[in-house]
Amino acid sequence: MSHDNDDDIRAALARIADTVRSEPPDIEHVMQASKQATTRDQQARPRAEVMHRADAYRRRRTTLRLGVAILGAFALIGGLMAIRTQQHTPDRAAVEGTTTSAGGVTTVTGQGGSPVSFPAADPHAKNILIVGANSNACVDPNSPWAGAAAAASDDLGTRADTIMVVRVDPTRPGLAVLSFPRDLWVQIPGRGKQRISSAYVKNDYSLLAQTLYNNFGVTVDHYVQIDFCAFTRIVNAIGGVAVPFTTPVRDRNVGLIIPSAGCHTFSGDEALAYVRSRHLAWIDDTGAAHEDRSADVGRISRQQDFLLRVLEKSLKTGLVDPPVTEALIRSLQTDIVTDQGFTLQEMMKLAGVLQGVGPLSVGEYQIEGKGITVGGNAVLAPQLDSPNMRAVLAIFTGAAPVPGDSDQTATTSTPASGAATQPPQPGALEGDIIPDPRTDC
Amino acid sequence: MDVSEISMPDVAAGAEHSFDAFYSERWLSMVRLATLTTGSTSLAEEIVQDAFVQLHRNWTRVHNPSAWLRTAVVNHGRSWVRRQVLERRHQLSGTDVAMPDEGVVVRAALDRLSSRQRAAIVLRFYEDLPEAEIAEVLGCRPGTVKSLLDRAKTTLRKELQQ
Repeated sequence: MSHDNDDDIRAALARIADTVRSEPPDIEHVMQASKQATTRDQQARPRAEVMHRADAYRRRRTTLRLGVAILGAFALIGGLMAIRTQQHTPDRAAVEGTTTSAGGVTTVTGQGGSPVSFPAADPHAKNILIVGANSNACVDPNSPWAGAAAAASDDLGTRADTIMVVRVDPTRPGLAVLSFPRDLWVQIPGRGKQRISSAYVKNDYSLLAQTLYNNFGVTVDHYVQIDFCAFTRIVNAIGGVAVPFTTPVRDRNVGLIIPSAGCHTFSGDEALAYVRSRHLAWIDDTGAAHEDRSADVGRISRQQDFLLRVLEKSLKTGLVDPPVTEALIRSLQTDIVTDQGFTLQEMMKLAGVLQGVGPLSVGEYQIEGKGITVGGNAVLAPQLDSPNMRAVLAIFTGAAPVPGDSDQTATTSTPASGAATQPPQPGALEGDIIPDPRTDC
Repeated sequence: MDVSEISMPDVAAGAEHSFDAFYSERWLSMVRLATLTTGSTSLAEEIVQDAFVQLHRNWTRVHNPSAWLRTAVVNHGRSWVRRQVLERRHQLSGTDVAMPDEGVVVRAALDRLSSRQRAAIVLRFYEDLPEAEIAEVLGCRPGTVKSLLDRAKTTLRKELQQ
C-alpha cells in the first residue's frame, strides 16, 4: 500500500459509501416538520432585552425552579443508572478525545487543557454548577452545530439562560441554590468586563468556573449542562405527564388544543408548548375563548405545577418500570453533559440528599445587582457588600454550613427589589388557568 | 447542475420547486456521508432528514445550500456519534447495517478515530474538500485540520494493514 498519495483511503471510504442505498422519504414529511418547527419558534423567541424589573425577577425565579426540578430528575436518573450498571457491567473501553465515560454518563473535561485554578473546596459539601442553555426549543436553525455557525451569529448560538450553583452537603439534609442573573456585569479572565453569560462555553465550564471564583469566591466541584431538549425528552421518557383542567383550553399561537375538561396527558413537545404558552385561553360553555389575564404570572405558575408533576411521575414510574428506566437513562446520556468527576457515586449522594429535603424545600438565593447602563447595555452590577449577601456567599464558599430544613429561615435572602419579594403563587390571580396542584391525574 | 449555484429564488413556488429538486438530488450522497461519519445508515437517514428540515426553514436565507447541508449533516453526525458510543455500552449491537466483509474492516478502522478525526477524513477524502473548507465545517483552524488528518491517516493505515 503506497503512502505517497491517499488513494488507499479514498478507495476505502468509497467502498463503504457505495454499499449504502437509501430512498428519500416523501418530501411532505420535511415540509410538515419545517412548518411545525417554525410555529414553535415564533413562540419561543426571546422577549425584548429590557424587561420590567419584577418580570426579570420572576423569570429568574422560574428558571431556578426549572433547574432544581431538572436536577432532581437528573439525580434520580443517576440513581437508576446505578441499578442498571449492576445488571450490565458496561465495558470500560476508552472513548474518544477529551470525552470519557463513567457508567454511561457523558463527561467532558475543560478543552484546550486549560486547568481551572482555585483551591480545593470543603471535602464534604459540593458546589455543582448548573448551566441551563436555551437552545431555542431544540430547533434553533443555525446554532446546533457549534463553532462556525455560532461564531458568525452569536445571538443565535446556544445561550446560557440559567447559571446557578447548587451546594449540597451529603452529611446534612440541606440544599442551597444560588442563581446568577445572566446580565451580571463581571470581570471575565482575559476578556475584561462582560455579562456573566458570555463566560459560558458549550461543553467547557472552565472559563465560567474561573469567573465565578474570581468575582464571588465560589468554587465549582461539578458541572451539569442541560437544555430545553432535556425537558422534552424526560417528559417523553416517562410516558407523558397528565395535568387536570377544569375547562377546555387552547393557545392558537402555539397550536395547543385541549378539547375537554379533565386530565390531559402531555407529550414532550406539547409540554414545552404548554409551559411556554403566553396566550392560553379557556373555553366557556358557549364556546367563547377567554385569554389568561395575567400573562406571565399564570404561565409561571403552570410551569411550576408542571415540573412538580414531572418529578412525581419520574419517581413513580422510573423506579419500577424497566422500559421507562431505560428511556430516562437515554435522556441523561444524550441531553445532559457533566464533568468527568461527577461520578455515579457522587450523584447517588446527591440523590439521597434530594430525597431528604424534597425538591422545593431548599434555600434559594440570588446574587443581588444594581441596574446600570454600560455602553448602551442594561446590565446588573453585583452588590456583594450587604450583610445579607455576605451571609449567602458564606454558605457557598464553605464559611457557613448549608442550611438544613430546620434552620433555613435564618439566612433566607431578601432580593433587592421590594416589588419582587414574593414569588408568584399558584392561584394568585383570578382568571388564570392554573391546574389545582392538589388534583392528581 | 452544480447545486451550489442555485440562485436565490424570490417567488415562493419557485423556492419550493428548487428545494424539491435539491432534496432528491442530494439525499443519497448526504446519507452516504452521514453513514461514513456515524456507522449507521438508519441513523444517517434520520440526521439527513433533520438537516433538510432545518435547511427548508432557512431556504431563502442560505446562500450555499450544499455547504450548509454538509455542515449540518457532519456536525449533527458528530453529536450523534458521541451518543452512540455511550449507548453501545448498553446495547450489544453497534451498527444496524449489514456491511460486506471488506467494509467491516474499513468500518472498524474508522471507528478507531475520534468523531472529529473521522469527520475530517471523510470530508477530505470522500467529499474532496480542501483543508480550509473542512476547517470551516468543523469550526477550527486549518492547522488543526492538518494535524487531525495526519494523525487519522496514521491510525487508519495501521488498522487497515492488520
